Amino acid sequence: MSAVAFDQVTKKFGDTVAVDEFSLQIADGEFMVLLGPSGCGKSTALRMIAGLEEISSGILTIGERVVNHIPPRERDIAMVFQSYALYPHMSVEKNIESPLVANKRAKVDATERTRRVHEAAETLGLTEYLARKPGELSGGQRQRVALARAIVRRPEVFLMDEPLSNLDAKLRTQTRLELVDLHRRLGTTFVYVTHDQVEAMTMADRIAVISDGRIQQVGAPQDVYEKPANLFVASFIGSPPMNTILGTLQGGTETAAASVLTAEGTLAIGHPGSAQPGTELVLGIRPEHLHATDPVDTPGAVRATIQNIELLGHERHVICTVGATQMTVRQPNDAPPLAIGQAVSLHADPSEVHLFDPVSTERLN
Amino acid sequence: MATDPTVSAANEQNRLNQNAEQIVDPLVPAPYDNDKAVQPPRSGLRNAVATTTTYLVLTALSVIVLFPIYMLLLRALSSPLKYISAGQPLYPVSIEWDVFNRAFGQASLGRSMGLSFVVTFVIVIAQVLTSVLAAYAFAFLEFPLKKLAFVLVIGTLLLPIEVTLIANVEIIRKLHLLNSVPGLTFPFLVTAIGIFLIRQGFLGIPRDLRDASELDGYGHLRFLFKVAMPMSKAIIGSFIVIAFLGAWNQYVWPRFATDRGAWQTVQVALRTIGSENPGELNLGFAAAIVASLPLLALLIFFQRQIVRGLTAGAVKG
Ligand SMILES: Nc1ncnc2c1ncn2[C@@H]1O[C@H](COP(=O)(O)OP(=O)(O)OP(=O)(O)O)[C@@H](O)[C@H]1O
Ligand SMILES: [Mg+2]
Repeated sequence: MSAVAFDQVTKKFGDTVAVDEFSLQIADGEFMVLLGPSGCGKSTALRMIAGLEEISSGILTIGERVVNHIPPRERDIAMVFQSYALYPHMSVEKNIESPLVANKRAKVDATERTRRVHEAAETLGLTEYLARKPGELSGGQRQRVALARAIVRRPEVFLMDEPLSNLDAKLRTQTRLELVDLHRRLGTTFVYVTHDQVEAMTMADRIAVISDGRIQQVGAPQDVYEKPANLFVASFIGSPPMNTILGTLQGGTETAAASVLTAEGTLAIGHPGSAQPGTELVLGIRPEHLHATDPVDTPGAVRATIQNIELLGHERHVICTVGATQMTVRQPNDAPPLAIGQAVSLHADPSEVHLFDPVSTERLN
Repeated sequence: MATDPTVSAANEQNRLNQNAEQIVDPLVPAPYDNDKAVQPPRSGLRNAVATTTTYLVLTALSVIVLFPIYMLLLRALSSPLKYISAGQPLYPVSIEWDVFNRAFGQASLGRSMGLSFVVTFVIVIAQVLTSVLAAYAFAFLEFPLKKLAFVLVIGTLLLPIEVTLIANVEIIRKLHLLNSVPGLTFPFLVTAIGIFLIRQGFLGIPRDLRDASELDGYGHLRFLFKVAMPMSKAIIGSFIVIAFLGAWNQYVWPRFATDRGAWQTVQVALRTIGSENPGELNLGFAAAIVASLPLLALLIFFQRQIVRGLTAGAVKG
């Protein structure tokens, strides 16, 4: 078990900066998720921990050791790939034991090897498939072989690059739980890469949200959800995404409530924090903190027209047009009925409104 | 795995089959897609005509290919004088089965075949070894001037043996290697075809797999022998066949690299048998048949590999 630390780590491919001055401390035994859209550099960051990519500048530490120039096999890490990367010509058993056979440092005697392989196979429910080739297994089983191959060597750190993305929805949910369970049992540091916010929210101890090669925010899932550090994080995490609308701050002090003047009316909000009256800002409101009420022109609310209603069974999403913007309201299914085309007032839970600087996109309150 | 040579070969085969179907039956309008259901139903008669045509064409082609082989057998078995006086018919005349025995004894065909086996064996082993190693470097390693080096290697394919013949003979002579196994094999220990084919096979190995093996702790040699080669079995197998064919059928080089009868390889011996026994033409034919038996066995044994390996190389190359 080991901590992993990025100190101003940068990776360039020619002119492309894939990872830009990463600084991130991953604690010993932590389940850290690197979350971001496609091409943001999360795989590159992971591959640098593995030693599969050279580091352009900065310092990467695993445990006490600076590993910038340590080859992969000496780093004592295991990685699970999106494609599973199993050896197609070897049996499941040979695949699982391969790190124990191939790596001189991890080498153990034959009895110990068999014991560990069977233990790993048992842990992941693979015992009856040991003699098969990977080609004769389902996607979920292959994925578990890849996991078994990672755990036999008892690494300091587990790396996983979108290991669930080739599984169907049901299997993905189930494997998510199994991974969390595995992490709890092993107590090893996990670094897990995904673009799926649900995976990040459900499994992580902490999430590092990444965009354009930069870390946008690091925090526990709930913190990242409740206090997004900037507009990117705000709109990337949460489904449906956070509503945003442009406005001007009016009134309010450190302690008193304020309101925001938008093109479609004035919205009551809580304490504006450090923002000064008169400043332009972007309001962010999560769909569950936005409410649609019937009488139009309620004070502290904006005017809207219902454009569409999506029924999801347990809840519904009411999609409204507010001037030129679109906002989504999340409601329980038994809320009073609404009709498409109907004019409504939208008001927000004042304490749940997020304020962002329109230029820097940083959080203001 | 989309990059598996067997899969791509199979896909290629499907594609060819579809094309063949279209060529054979031009009267059926082109279907909107490959779904059989949208094709207009064919009448039984038309179907039968199409099948018959296919078989006729294939039969004709087979006859063209097999005819020389039949003639070879015919001439080998027939007593030469009686055959000619019978007006060179398309059937054997006065069959002499012991001709094979006699051919084997003549001009020590057995000895020549033995030598050819040794030479072929050395060449095949050396070519596989050097090709695999060079292919590994070109496929997986980064080094300066890699592209240029590869172009140069492939460029050697453009040089026919005749171009380098004089110079090579000169070198072998100066090294006192005329009439020796090293002399017979030296210029063929490395071949660009092998490097190219096997490199193609290696390039088909997914990057994740290489990364995984690096993390597992495989060094270069272990990765080569435990992962890269087993995963490229089909291509390496087909290359072995190609190398064997080439080495066994050598004529020009053994002619020039030897000047003693005892060092005749099989193809040279065939020629000697032909010219030394003008009265017994059938001996030469029989010897040719005997000399091709190892190839026949090889082809039957490796048939699938040959097709697979060649299409895989062709599709990707
Ligand atoms: N070997 C490479 N050579 C050049 N550019 C690369 C290389 N690998 C990655 N990149 C670039 O670096 C950036 C980050 O790539 P990376 O693979 O880390 O993205 P990612 O976040 O994992 O995306 P995805 O979710 O699609 O896997 C991309 O712009 C990519 O094009
Ligand atoms: Mg990736």
